[in-house]
Amino acid sequence: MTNDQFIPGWMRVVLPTIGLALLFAAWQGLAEFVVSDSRLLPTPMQVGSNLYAWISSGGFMPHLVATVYGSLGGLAIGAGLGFVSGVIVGEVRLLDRAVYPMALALQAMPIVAIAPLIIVWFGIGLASKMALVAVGTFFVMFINTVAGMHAAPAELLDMGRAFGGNRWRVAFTIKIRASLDYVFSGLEVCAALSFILCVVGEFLAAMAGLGYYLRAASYDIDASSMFAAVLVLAALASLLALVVRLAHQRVVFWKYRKN
Amino acid sequence: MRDALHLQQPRAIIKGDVVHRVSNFLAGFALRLAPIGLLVIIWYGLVQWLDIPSRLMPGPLEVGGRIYTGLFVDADLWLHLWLTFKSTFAGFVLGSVLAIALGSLLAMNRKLELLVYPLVVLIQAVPKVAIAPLVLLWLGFDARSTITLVALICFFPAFVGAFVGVRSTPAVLLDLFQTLKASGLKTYLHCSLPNAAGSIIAGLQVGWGFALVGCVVMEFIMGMGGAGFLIDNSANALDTVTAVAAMVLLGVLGYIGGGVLSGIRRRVVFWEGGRRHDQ
Amino acid sequence: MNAPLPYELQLGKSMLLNLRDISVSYPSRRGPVLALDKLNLSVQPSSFVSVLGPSGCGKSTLVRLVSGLQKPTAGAVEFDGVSAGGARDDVGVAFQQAALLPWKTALENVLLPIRLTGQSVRPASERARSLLDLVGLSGFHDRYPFELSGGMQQRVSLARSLIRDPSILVMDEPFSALDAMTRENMMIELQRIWLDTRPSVLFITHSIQEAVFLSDRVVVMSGRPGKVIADVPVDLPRPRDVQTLAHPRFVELSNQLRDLFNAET
Repeated sequence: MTNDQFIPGWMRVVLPTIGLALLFAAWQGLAEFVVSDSRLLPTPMQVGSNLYAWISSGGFMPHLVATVYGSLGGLAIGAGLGFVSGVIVGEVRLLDRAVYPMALALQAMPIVAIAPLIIVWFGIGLASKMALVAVGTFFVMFINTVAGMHAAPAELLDMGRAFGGNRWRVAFTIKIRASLDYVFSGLEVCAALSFILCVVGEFLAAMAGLGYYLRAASYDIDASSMFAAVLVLAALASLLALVVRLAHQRVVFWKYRKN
Repeated sequence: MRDALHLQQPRAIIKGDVVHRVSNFLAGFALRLAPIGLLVIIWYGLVQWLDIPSRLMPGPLEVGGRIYTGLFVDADLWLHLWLTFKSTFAGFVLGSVLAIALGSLLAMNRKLELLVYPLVVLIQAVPKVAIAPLVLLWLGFDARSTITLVALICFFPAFVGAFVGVRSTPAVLLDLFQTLKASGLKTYLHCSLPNAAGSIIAGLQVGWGFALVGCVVMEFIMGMGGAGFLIDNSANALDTVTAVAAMVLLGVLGYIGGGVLSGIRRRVVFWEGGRRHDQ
Repeated sequence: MNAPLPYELQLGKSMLLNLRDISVSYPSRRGPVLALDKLNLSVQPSSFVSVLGPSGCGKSTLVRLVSGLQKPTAGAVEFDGVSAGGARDDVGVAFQQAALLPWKTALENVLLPIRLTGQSVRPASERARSLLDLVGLSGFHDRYPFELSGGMQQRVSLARSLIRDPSILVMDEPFSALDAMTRENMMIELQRIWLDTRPSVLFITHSIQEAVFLSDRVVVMSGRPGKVIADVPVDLPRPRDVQTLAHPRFVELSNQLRDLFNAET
């Protein structure tokens, strides 16, 4: 099967390109000949021009800003608090035993389910989106940080104590560094989660934002605008994921070194 | 030398094995229940101590009562929960089967992998919840939309699980099957697929969580039934007791699904982490 | 000493294996690589031939050619004079790793070739059990690979390679992953098993001791591109045992091979 398939270098570029071209061709074909209702399925060109017009108009920035503030703002708060709490709990044995299992037990519930409640508490504006994202990312970051602290290799800790560091010194310089891999993996999950939660919040109740725009466009049966909004969201999410991934590789550089 | 081998004990049935297993089970059960118990106590404490009005956040007793009446007396919660379960399960099975098939296929054929790779990257880049309104637009206000979104959202983890699992089949096993003139299908069924089982089930476990998310989100925007609808509807009506009750039940659903998959994983992939006799 | 074999195991099938003018080259990032260069090698029926050679000389490629995993770029692999293409039912293969299916018991692993060719498993079960007894694993037929040591897994692999009563047995350094004591035991065991069933054997190894102990002839290969540089007959009487290892002729042959081997590396 795969062990005797040798792929020459040029094919590694040509095949994906063909695949991409086939994808667009299929899309175009479907839109033009099968559905042929641009309100339901626009062609790639129509989406492109819709996107261009939208960005050039004044109606784009308010929504973009709302979503970016909601997700990144919430991410900063939630992941930041989650990390700090995680370090503290990971370090204090009593809290670790009591709180960590609780967090793990709560994981089973999909965090989007609390969105309507958050909106009741925080209202329709930006605050509820940030709060929702903050709660979701806090949770993930907390669990990952504690798990990371658990994973610090015992030899490193023994070494640290042997060199006479006091307890918090040991925690900060050794445990935290060792847990960074988990922390950044958690951050990658949080990055995706932040957009998901923000968009869902905007679906439910909002005054602006890409999710709000998306929902509004669906009421107008304007698939072009919906596609445009989805593309912008995909671009944002990918950009954030890339940034976090790069940061992960730079900070936890020892994992990616090839010896 | 050869004789030493024959001195090994055949596996004996441990007396009191059943008693052992039952007490282990109960201990594990208690261990899992303890954090939840602690959570409920803290919840109760916070609501009492901070004097939070029930319309803002109800306490555990109220929610427990609502769950009881909702499941066993009026059974109105049951209906929505069942709806969510059906849609989630159907979408989960659909998405997972497609994902496993596609993942296996791409793992076994590198040319196909390169061809389809852009599609996979694009699918992965889009946050699936953003597609929900589109799916609703295309498929209408019924279960088909929910099932489709769930299938889309839980596709990726199972896909990766299958791809990585099949790709990691040891080359020597594939060689073995080739020397036995086994067809591609036979090799897949008897060699690659069992080898990938652990990875696939791990992907399914993640996928189940995603699936619930997809279902709830679709129910939010569709507004026709299910736990998501219930939460949104009752929260808007400031009936927070029902909303929180529905959230708790959703958590239970997520937990049960994860538990079932864990159990399946333990039984199916029994060979990982075993003990050895030494020659 | 050796108990008479149960009926199912009394064989006698063997074949003439002939590699004629074999060349193998394969594509790589830096251009085509020549692994074997017009190599000629034959194994007479019922004889045991070892191949000694440095790492990377193409020994494993030989195994792949004979077991049907690979076709030569030039030349032919002939079984009883007939040129072959692809895997054959009458060739048994034992790899460097035991290559057992971790989710199947030892017995089920031995029966794998039967199951995959669609034949009925039940009649072969008895034979499989006998083979497991033969390799010294009676009572372990229902164990899983993770319950067996490396040596035991290799024994299962050996039993599996014999289940279809092969005329030719090709073995790719099957004991190289085992510790020294186990290797020596397995070497003696293999001779015992071979003497009972006597297929033609092509045995790849980098252990001079194994090569001399087990074989009728030892073929020495050069480094890449692989060619035969020596073909040394081993005229020690059989059955050979632990005492043979100290026999002057054994030592003489070992030294001879060692010199040839070192001249190559």
